[in-house]
Amino acid sequence: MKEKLKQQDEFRWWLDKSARPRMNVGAKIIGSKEIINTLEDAAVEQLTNVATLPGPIEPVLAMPDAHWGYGLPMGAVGAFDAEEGIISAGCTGFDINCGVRLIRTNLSVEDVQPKLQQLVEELFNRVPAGVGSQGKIRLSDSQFSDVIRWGAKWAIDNDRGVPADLAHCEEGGYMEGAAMQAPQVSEKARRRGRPQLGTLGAGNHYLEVQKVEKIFDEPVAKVFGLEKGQIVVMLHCGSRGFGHQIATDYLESMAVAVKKYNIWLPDQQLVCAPANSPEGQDYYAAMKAAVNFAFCNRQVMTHWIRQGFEAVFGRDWESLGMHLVYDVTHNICKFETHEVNGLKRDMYLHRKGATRAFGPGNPKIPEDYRSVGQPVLIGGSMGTASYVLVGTEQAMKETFGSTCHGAGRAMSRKAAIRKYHGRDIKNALEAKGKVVRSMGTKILAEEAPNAYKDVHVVVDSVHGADISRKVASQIPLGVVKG
Amino acid sequence: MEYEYSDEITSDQLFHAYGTTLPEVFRNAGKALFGVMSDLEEVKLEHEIEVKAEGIDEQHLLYDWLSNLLLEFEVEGVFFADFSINLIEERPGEGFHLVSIAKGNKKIPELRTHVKGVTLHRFSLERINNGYRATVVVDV
Repeated sequence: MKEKLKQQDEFRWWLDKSARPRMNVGAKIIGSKEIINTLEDAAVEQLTNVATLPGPIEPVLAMPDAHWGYGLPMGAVGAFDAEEGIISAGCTGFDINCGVRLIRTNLSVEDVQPKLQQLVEELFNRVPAGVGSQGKIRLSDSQFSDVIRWGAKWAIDNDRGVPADLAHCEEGGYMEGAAMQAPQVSEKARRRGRPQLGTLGAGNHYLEVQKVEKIFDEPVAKVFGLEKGQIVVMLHCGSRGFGHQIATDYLESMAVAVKKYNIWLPDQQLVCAPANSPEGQDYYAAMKAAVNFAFCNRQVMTHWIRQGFEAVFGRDWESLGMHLVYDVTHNICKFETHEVNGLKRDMYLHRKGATRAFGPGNPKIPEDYRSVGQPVLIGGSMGTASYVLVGTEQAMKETFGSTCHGAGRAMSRKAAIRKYHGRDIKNALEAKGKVVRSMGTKILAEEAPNAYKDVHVVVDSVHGADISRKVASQIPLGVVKG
Repeated sequence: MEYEYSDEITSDQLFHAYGTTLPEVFRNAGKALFGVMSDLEEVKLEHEIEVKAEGIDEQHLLYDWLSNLLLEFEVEGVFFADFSINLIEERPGEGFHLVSIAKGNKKIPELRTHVKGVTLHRFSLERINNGYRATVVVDV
């Protein structure tokens, strides 16, 4: 399929809808020649699969971090008309509202380096990690309903943060209209989710103490409160077992819905339902519950991260300047309105491994950032580099206000596990002066930095295409992993 | 062969499980699922949990059962390494039902990865010459 890609400019590739039968719209890939050279043919094929679903809005998009996944490739955006199109549990995937938040500090490397070991230990002890990890929060059934209804706002109302945190989350930290009970949210999902609030989980999720390494755009960095040499904390996690169960439940029920509505699928994982059908809207309401769980999860952990810093540095978090820069989601389905060919169109946007990148002036952006655009937080692979970008007008015109989300895998997890040993990865990071704490060392192997694309190449592509611009890059000093 | 893994999908894990009977292919798929996360040989079978499943056909039954195993692993904190499939039956008008005993240990072995969910990508349960073959891709 790759041979059918037509290069439009240095960072844009087009796949016409004539590339294969049943494609309703064309597809676009953002990336340099280097990115396209390493992109799997199967990932391009998966893009064409999405274009066969009912009611897509052109184009189906792949970002430079795209790679072969299941259903929709990771690093892709699928927009569907709110009336004629579909909502897909399969396109959104398991890790609903997997996202990244960044907390700044007014500490410098010199302040943190001597206490780094102690700080990482403190954070590791305060933020429960690992599979099925039980959180420190015991919730009654009705409290759990409040969590999935109010998201991060529940945490703020329960003394785990301040209102300014909410203002600096995408969607203000919760989506309205979340379902809370069966039949939309199953008892299974509630049972799985309830003990897991306030847990980091395992796999690719992590918490890093980072140093701002470079500033690319001084004025915008200043607006986001970032400067060279500053210590920041990045948290990458999602809705845990609660979101995984909601995805599982709806993969099963939408598999029935596609038969009912006679929807042809090139891949069963793309199960979906018409956007305005009861099945589609039930999923959307349940998905919002998982979105809210994830926002709350990150907020609760932010509270413990602040407490960890307070314990180590002996000052309260506000005097340490530990304000939230922003919180983005990079795995979600959202109702949004975008201008397409001069017309405003309502759509359900599936961002799977893609980040919203709204440009300047958008009312969805917090007031203090509105003049420059929203912060876009890009987590690199564990132990390498991360970026802060800013959303652009071009993203609004071209990519439904979306950009990339991370480095993107270049090697299968199994291959990485075979090729690397977790102990070696830890040693290599420690040899560079980084402090690593994890539940075990084996789990580090699959996240070996070499198993990922080069995050700099990914970011240079979105910057080159101007669908977001580089503001700052960070390198980790300390890593906490499940 | 009970099961085998394939590397072909970049971000996720594909496996095939085999069995001469339906209960056998289910059991082997369960072992393959937990074998993605750790080495099953190291797990002493000291805890048992009953796990049920339902599905409109055998394939959906397998999907539901594997998903329920992940759920019980996280909720009950037992890492499973073997399974007894006690009942698979079709009830007229209700579809298929399964009752199983999942066996494992509350002392969770060190994990090399975590399975988030069972995907429907390429998911199949098919009859082959001398039994069944399941194809499963899990999100890790």
